[in-house]
Amino acid sequence: MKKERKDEELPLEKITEFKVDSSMKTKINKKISSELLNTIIDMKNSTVLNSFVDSYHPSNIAEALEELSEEKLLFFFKTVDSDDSAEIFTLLSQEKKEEVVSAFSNEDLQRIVSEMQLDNLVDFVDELPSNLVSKVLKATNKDNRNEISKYLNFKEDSAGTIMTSEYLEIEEDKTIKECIKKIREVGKEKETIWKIFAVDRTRVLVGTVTLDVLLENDEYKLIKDVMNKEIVSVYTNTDEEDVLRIFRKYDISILPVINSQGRILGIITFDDVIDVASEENTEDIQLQAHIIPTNKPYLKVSCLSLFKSYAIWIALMLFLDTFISIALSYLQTPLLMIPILLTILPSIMGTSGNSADQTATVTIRELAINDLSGKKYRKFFIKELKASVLTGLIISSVAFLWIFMEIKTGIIGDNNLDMKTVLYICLSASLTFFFCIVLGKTIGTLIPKLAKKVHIDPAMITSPVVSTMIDIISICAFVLISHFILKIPLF
Amino acid sequence: MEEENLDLLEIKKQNEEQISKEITYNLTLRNTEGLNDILSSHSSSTITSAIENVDDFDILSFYSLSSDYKKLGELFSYLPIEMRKIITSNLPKKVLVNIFSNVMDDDLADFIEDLTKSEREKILNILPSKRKKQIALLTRFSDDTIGSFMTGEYLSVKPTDTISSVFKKIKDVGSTMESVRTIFVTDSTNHLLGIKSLEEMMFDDPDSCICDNMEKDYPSLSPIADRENAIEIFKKYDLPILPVTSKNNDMLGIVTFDDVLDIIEKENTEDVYMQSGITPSDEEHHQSKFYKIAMSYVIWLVILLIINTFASLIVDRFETELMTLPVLVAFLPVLNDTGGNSGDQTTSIVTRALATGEIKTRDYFKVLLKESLAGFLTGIVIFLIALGWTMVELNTSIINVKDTLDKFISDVGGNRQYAYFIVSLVIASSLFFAVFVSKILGASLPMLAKLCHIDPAVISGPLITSVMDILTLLIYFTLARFIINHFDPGEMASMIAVLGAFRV
Repeated sequence: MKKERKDEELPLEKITEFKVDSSMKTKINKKISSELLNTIIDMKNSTVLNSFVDSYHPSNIAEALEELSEEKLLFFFKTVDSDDSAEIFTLLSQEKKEEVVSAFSNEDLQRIVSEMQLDNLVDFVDELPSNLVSKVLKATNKDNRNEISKYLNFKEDSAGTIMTSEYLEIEEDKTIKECIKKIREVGKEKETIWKIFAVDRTRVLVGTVTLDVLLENDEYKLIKDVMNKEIVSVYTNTDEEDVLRIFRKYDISILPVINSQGRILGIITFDDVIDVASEENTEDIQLQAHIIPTNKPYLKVSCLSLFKSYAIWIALMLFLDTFISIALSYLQTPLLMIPILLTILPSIMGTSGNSADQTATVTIRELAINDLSGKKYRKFFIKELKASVLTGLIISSVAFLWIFMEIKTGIIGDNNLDMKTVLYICLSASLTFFFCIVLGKTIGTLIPKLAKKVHIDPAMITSPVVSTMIDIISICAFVLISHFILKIPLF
Repeated sequence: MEEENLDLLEIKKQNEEQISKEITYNLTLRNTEGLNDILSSHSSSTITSAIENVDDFDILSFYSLSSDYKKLGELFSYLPIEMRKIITSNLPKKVLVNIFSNVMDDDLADFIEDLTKSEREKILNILPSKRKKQIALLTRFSDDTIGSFMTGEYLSVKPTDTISSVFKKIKDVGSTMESVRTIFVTDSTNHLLGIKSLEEMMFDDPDSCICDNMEKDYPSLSPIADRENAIEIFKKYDLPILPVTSKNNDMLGIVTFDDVLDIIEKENTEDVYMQSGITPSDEEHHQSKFYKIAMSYVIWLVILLIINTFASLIVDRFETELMTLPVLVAFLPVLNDTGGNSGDQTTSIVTRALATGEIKTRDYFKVLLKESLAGFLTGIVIFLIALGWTMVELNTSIINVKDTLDKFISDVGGNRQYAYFIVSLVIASSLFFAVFVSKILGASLPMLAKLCHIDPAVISGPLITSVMDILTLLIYFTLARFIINHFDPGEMASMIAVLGAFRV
C-alpha cells in the first residue's frame, strides 16, 4: 500500500457534509487512499459517492480502486453515474478491468460499456482473453460491436460476434456417468450445460445431447448411443439473420458455431438471438421507410446524422425520378388534351405504387422468415398472382364507379362532357388500374427474389427499383390505354 | 468461406427435397413402414419443410398411413388450417386421440379456436378430461394475450421432494413435457412456490430438498398481459422458460423462449405490413387462401383511392397553371414521391420510438424541433440539387419541352435560360417546402394519434404518403401560380446576375 501524505487527505469526519461546489471547474488532483474510498463506499450512500466522484480526478479514483475488493468494485460501478464510471473504468489496469468484466452481469456491464469511447473500448477488448471478449461484445450496442469485430476479424453482424466460447463438449465414447461427472466438475464455468456437444477423437462435432436425455437414460449407456446425430450448426460468418431463421425453424435454444473442419468454435444461445430478433425489426422498418438505418435510439441520434440519413435517400430518389420525368414529358400530350385525365393520374400512380409496395413487403418478409426457394417460391408466386388479379378486379371496379361519381359531381372536370366520353374515361382509368395493380404486384414478387439471387439485401434495393418502375409503367399504361379507348393522338 | 456458408443451407435444402420425394414415393406404394422410417430418422422441422413440397392431397394419405403419432402430432401445427380440418374430419377417433396427445396445448387451442362450435366440441370430447380443461382455459384468452399461447406441459414437483426424486420424475415423464429445463415447485393447491433450473440442480446434493435451493424470487407473467410484455420480460431476465401465474400465484402454464421468438416474428411482420398498408392477419402467409390475402390488400387501397380524391380536386382547380406551363406536369411524380418518402421517413422513426417507449407524447417539442431542423437542412440541400439538376435536364432536353415551353418563353421576354430558371425555381422551392412540411407533419401526426389513443402505426406508410401527395400538390401549384404571376424580368435578371457573381 502506498504511503499517503497526511496533509493532503480529506479528514473522514467531514465526509457527511460533502457537497459539490458547482464553481469547481477542475477536479481536485489529489491522491486518494484506498481506505478513504473504502469508507465512502461502505456508507452505501449514492449521493455521497457520486459527489465524491464528481470532485476528484478520475485517475486518482481509478488508482484507489485498484486496491479494493471485487465486492466494493461492483458496488462502486453499479452506483456511480455511468459516464463517470465509464471514464474511471477506462483508467483501471487491464487486470482490474478483467476482474470487473468477469464479475459483472450483462446489464451492469452494458451500463459502463455503453458510455465508453469506441477507441478505448477497442483497445480494451483487444487485450481481453477470448471468453471475456464475447461477454463484452454482447454488452455493447450493435454499432460498436461491428466496429470491434472488424478488429477481431469477424464479419459484421455475423454469428462470430454473438457467440460465446463457454460450452461443454464430451467424447462420444464416454458413458453418461462420465459425462455427468464432467458436468459437475467444470459445468459451473460454462454459459450453459443444457446442451452438451459430443465430439469424436479428432474433436469434430458428431452429435448433441441435452441434459434431460442424460438423466432419462441408464448411466452406463454411451453418449454416442443416446445423442442426437442430426446437427444444426452455423459458421462464424453466417449472417445474424440467418442464425435467427435457424433458431426459429429448428426450435432450438443453443446453436453451435463450427469451423470448416467441423470443430466447435463457440455457441449461440437463445438470449442472444432474442436481441437479434428485436434489432432486426428496427432495421427492416427503417429500410422500408427509406432511411439508411441508424442503430442508435432516437433521442441519441444527432440532428446532423438524422439529416444525413434522410438527405442521401431523398437525393438518390430525385435522380431516379428523372426517368419518370422523361417518360411523362414525352407522353403528356394526350393528357393535356383531355385535362381530366391529368387529374386522375396522381390517383393511378399512387394506387399502383401502393399495391406494388404491399406485395414487395410481403415477399421480402416471406424471404426473410421462410427462405422461399424452389417449389415454395412457385406456390407463393401463384398465390400472389391470384390475389393480385382479385385485388385488381375489385379496385378497378370501385375506381370506375368512384371516378364516375367524381366527374358527375363536378369534383373534377366542368361537367361539360357527353356521357359516352365520361364512360370511356372511366373505362380507361379502370383498365389502367387493373393492369397496373396486377403488373405491379407481379413485379413486387419478382424483384426481391432477384435481389436475393444476386446477394443484395432485398429490403434495401426493392423500394426504389419497384417504385420507379411502377411510376413509369402506370404513366405509359394510362396514356396508351387512353389513346386506344378515347382515340386521342399520342404525340 | 462465403461459399461454404451457403453450402450448409443448400445441403439442407437438397436434403429436404430428397425427403419429400421419398415421402411421395412411399405414399404411392402405400408403404406404412417406409413412411414411419422417414419420420423417425429426421427432426420435425426437417420434415415440416419437406412436407411443404408434397401435394396437399397426399398429406391426408400421409396421416392415414403412417403410425408415428409423435411426429405426426408435432407436424400437425405446421399444416395449413384447411389441411388440419380435413385431417380432423376424416381420420378415426382412435387415431386422432393419439395424434392430438402429441400436439402442444397452445397449438391445439389455436386450432380449435378457428373451428365452429360443434367441430370444437367434437375435438374437445375426445381428449382426456384434464387436458380438456387446460385447452378450454387457453381458448378463453384472446389472441394477443400471453394466456393464449402458454402451455400446460411443465413439470411440477412438491417442495419436499429431494433432488434425486426429481431426477427420477424426469426420467419417468420428462419426454412428454414441453421442457424440463426449468422445474416448478408447487404446493398442494397449485400455488407456485419457487422455480429451479435443471442445470443448477446438477450441482446440488442429491439428497437435499428442492425447497432448500429453489429460486423464490422469480419473474412471472400474467395471462391477461399483452404478448409484447412477454418479449420485454424475456429480454430482461434471459431465462429460457417463464411461468404464467394468476394473481393468487396459481400456476397456469409456461411460456418458452421459442414462443417469444414467434411473437417477435409476428410483431415484426405486423409492423412491417402496417407500414405498407396491408391489414395484418394472424395466419401465416403460406397458410392463407388467396382471397384472404387479396382482402388484406384491398381495404387500404380503397381508403387511399378515396383520399386521393382531394389530390384530383387540386389538380383540377389549378388547370390554368398546367396549361400555361405544361412542363410542370413532367415533374409531378418527382414532387409526390419526394414528399411521400420524406414524410414516411419521419413517421416511421417517430412511430417506432413511440412504440418502444423511448419517447412519450410530452417529448413532442423535442421531436418537432429535431425533425424540423433535419427537415430544414434536408430541404435546403434538395433545393440546391433540384435547382441545378432541373436546369441541366431542361438545357440538355432530356425532358421534352419543345413546343410547350415556347409560349412561356416569349411571355417572359424571350430569354430561354430565364424561363428555365423560373421553372427550376418552382420545382426546387416546392421540393423544399414538401420536405420541410412533411417532416413537421411526420413528427406531429403520430403524436396526435397517440393522444387520441389510435395506434400511431396506422399513420405510417400509405396514409402519410397520400396526405403528403395532397399537400405537395397544393404547395407546388400555389408556388407555381405565385411565381408565374409575379415574375419581373428586370428583378429576376438582377437576381440571376447576383447568383452568377457568387459562382464566380
